[in-house]
Amino acid sequence: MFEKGSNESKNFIKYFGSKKALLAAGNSMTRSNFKKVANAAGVANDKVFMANSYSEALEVMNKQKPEVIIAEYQLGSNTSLELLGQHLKLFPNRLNSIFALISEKNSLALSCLAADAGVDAYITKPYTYDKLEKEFAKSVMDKVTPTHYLTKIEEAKIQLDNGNYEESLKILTAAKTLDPNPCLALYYEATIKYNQKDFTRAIELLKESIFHIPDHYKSLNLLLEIYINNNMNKEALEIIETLLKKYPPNPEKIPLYLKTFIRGEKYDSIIKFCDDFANYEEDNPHFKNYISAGLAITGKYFVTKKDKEHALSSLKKSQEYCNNNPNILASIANSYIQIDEPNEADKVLQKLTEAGNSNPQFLVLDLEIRNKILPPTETFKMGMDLLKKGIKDPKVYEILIQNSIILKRDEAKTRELVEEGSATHPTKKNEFEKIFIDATKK
Amino acid sequence: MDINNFKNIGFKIIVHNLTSRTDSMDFNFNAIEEFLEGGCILKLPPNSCQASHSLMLGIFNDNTKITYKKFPVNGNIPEAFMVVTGKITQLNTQDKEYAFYPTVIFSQYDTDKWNQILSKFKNRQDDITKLVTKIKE
Repeated sequence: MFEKGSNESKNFIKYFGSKKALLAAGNSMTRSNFKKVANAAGVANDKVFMANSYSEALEVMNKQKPEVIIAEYQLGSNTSLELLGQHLKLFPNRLNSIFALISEKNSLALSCLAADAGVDAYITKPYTYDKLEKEFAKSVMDKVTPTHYLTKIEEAKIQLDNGNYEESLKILTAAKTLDPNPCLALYYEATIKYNQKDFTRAIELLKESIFHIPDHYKSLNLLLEIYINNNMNKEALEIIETLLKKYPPNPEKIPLYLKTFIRGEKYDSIIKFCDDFANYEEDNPHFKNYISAGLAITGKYFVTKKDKEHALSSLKKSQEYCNNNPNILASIANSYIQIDEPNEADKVLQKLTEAGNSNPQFLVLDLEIRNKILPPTETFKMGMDLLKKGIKDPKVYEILIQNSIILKRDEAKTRELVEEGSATHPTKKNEFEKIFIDATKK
Repeated sequence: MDINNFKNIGFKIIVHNLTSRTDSMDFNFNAIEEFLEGGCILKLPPNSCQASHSLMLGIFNDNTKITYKKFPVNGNIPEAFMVVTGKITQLNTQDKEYAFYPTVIFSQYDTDKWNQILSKFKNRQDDITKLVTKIKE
């Protein structure tokens, strides 16, 4: 990696010499490349642990507590980003730990997601061995020989994570004098203010940070979170525009971006997302999930805008990619009901049933769908069964009151439903009364 | 959101074993595992080759829609990005139930095109390293 006896080599041996390393990859050739890299960096042979699967890697990590992990992205049906989550908990001080990801997948969106999650290195396959070593060395250099500023930042972060805000602030104040662009210090100070609900000060600090570096990723993202939570839509949209101009999107943030577009009525951006992604073939299950959630959101939006064509294309792709996620399926079914596509809604609900979901939310949705396709006698019976089971959702009362009148049941009995519904949901009293009066008039 | 950010870059590969006269045609399985000076280490189906066998590789851009059932005769594949001939100098069979990893040193190939492949991956790696550094700063 470095010439023997050089300063770099000495620094690396000092850093890695006392550390354990976990090397996780599905095939032995890749593992042996990782071992060469770890040894070249300075990890001793007896401190190297190998794993060829996710479960094995997890076991080794929990038992040996290796400070260094070099792992392939895909480990069977799991990804090593799941390992990273555990590693971050195990070693909150990231100056003393390393997580390098090696991946056949090389999309910019995935690398953004991985970097956001906290990887130190993202090395793509195929590589030349030389490149693998160089990229690894380059990516960990700031940890091997950290600046005084970075060391302070890490100390402050640990205090912050432990809730010692005053101590953290003291360290950050000192850190700010150590770097001409102290964006990280400002970002963590803003995080403390944000946690203390002092949004005004947090915004000021973050603006100061992006004055130093206008595209400072962490600051822009925290600013976005504050704007969204405080319903500052215009400002939030501006931040998203900057982020999307400067960085590939982290797929995890697709739903958040789309919700903000909707609040800000950015119709063009919403249609573009739908047109692009409704016809896009993706094989990464991680991405599919977020694309699906995004399309469920746009589908719902197009329903409210009565744009049935876009609603249907969004909802169909969302359904295809959602991996039977019950919340997404429920949202899709709901949208289908609203655009009067009960048969499509029924198909979605069948998926939910196959997935073994019988929670109250889905049973109410099922009732809504049946209400569109079954005779009132059957829907009424279903609704009464739900009440007997203790599922007293307002929607159940609405459907029961409507059908009770359609079925020409004794008016006193319908009135009983209105009274019971109003007692259970006092805020819905006027709605129940209105349904009763309107239906009676007909 | 630019959809291109979600796309991976890569190449698809089909292989004809000139010695055993067998083909490995699965675009989704065959892959370049590692780049070498004037060659590469491939990932191929188990038992598809042996050390000292000669191989012909058809390398395609990853957006190709063309699929082949058999390797075209004489390597005449105008749709391919490049066609390479090489010899297996080493064979790693440690994971023989899953895949073979032959080291192939090229004997006939267009160096410009091969360098284009190397550059494509190198540039993507550079972009990713820049991005990771920027997000950490």
